[in-house]
Amino acid sequence: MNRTRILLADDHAILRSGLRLLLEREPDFTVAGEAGDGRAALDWLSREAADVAVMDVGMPGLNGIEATTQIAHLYPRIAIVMLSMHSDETYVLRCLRAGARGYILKESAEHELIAAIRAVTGGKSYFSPKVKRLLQQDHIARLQRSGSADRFDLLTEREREILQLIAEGNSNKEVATRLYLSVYTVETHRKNILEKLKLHGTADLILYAVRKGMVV
Amino acid sequence: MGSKMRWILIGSLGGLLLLIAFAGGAALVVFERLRAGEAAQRARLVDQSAWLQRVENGVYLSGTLARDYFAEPNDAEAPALLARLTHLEADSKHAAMEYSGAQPAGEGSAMQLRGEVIAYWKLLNLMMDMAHRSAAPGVDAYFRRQLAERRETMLQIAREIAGAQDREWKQGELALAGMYRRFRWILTCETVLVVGLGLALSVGTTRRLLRLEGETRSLSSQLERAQEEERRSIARELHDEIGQAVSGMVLDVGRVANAAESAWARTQLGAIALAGERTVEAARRIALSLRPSMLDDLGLVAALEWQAREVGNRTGLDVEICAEDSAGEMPDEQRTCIYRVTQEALRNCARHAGASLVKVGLAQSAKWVSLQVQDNGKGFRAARTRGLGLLGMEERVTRLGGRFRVRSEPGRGTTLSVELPL
Repeated sequence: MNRTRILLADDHAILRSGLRLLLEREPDFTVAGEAGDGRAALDWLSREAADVAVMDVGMPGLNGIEATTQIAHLYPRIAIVMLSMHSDETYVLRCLRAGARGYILKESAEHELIAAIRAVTGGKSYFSPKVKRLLQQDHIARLQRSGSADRFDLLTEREREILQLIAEGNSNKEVATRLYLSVYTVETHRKNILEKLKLHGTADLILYAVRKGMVV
Repeated sequence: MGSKMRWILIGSLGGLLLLIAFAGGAALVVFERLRAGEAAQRARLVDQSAWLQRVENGVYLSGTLARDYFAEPNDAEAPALLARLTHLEADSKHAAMEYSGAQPAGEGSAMQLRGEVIAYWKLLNLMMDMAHRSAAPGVDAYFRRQLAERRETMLQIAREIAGAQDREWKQGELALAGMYRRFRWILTCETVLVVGLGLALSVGTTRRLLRLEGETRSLSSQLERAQEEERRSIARELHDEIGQAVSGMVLDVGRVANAAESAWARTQLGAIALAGERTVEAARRIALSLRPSMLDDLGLVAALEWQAREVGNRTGLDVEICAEDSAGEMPDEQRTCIYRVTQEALRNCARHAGASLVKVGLAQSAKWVSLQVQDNGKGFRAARTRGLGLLGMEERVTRLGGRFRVRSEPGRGTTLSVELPL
């Protein structure tokens, strides 16, 4: 059986070794490498292969988000989980835009990291429950305060379905297969969804789905 | 330092004013003296030449009158002629007296002239007496020769005196010209002194003021940096230390709650966990409001977007951020400046402008970053009103060598633009 190769990037060695112990307890995981900052992570990836990169957001030198942008660009097959101290939407959105699909808080890493790694290697997104809760609360509070109508109501049943699937990490092709539609149709739906919600890309879509509580 | 500066300024400016006043006064006095001197000399010379003229007139006229008299000593006109001659005698003697009296003592030619005038009249009177007694023709001719001789001598002296007077006049003119030259020189010196002193004073004062301004500016910039640093560290402590610690406690409490057997304990522990989470949330909010960690972690645009959302949530103001993600990579000081200016501008929009929509634009080139904050609020008279908030923003921007502009008119919203060199 092929074990999932994991790269751990965090500037705190103690945290790295703690996470390594945690991860190596799983029979199908192996921590293939460690890095102290974004630059070291990219160096390591230029020599060795990995399936998952676990990146700390705030690292000296090249920070986690910039490193993630480059990894997602250079090695699109590597799934990325962000480790962060911040539950704020701004951080979540930046990480998603950079190409990460998992976002967990450091404070709950020991409970969530394994689930997050399994989710992203399975092509899905993963967010710390606390982050999801805060994003949803923020979203609701904002709707209430502004008193404006929820744009979600503009979406058709089909569009909501597609939004859900995209947010879960499915590609257009996968969505098309699941719903027995052509890729072209899915593409059109996707454009309509973005337009109706005034969003600008997959990262925004995923964040929106999280706010709506659509990502489990 | 302030009071010392004040005394220096008062002293030097006062000195300069005194010097200018003194120079002006001295110029007036000298000028008046010159004018008076010139007038007095002219008056004296005019008098003197008038006296000389009277002496000469007397001599010429007396010659003619005497000749008429000698021709007809017993004519009916004779007494009138005599009376005129007597009058002439008195007048020319008087003029000669006046003239010699006006000359400085020991002036030879004046005394000589006086003597000649007296002698001439004595001789003339003698001859007139003799004309009555019809003296011998030889004697008569002798006297006539004598008289002509005297007259010639006297006129010669008068001409010499006139020549001397001319010379004196010229000398006076020369003296006056010298006085003018001296006066001009003094005035020039004073002017040069005043201008030089004024120049030194203004250069010194300007340099000093510029230095003071620079010191003030660098001091306030240091203060601001220190404040920013302090905010950053407090925010970090709050979020990383207190936030993490309480988060850990919440997790522990949750674990204990799960294991607890009594329902009461579970409820209580659940409440504690909730309170803990609220505390973490509060710490997070305070930390972000002090200095958003995004500004350091994610860059300016992310921080601005967060700020826009926060303001929107808090006040209902619709804030649009227009910036490329690549913008906002700049040194810490410029980033902080743009962020704080935007923060203050949004605060103004929410508090005073009564705006419903604010557009924040950020553009960046290799050398410049420019920010524009435009609202649709009620506006104000930008030319007149400058609140403390605006002044503070301007101060921040100019300290980094940037330009700050506010365009606003009542009823037309407000546009604030900042350009910072990178």
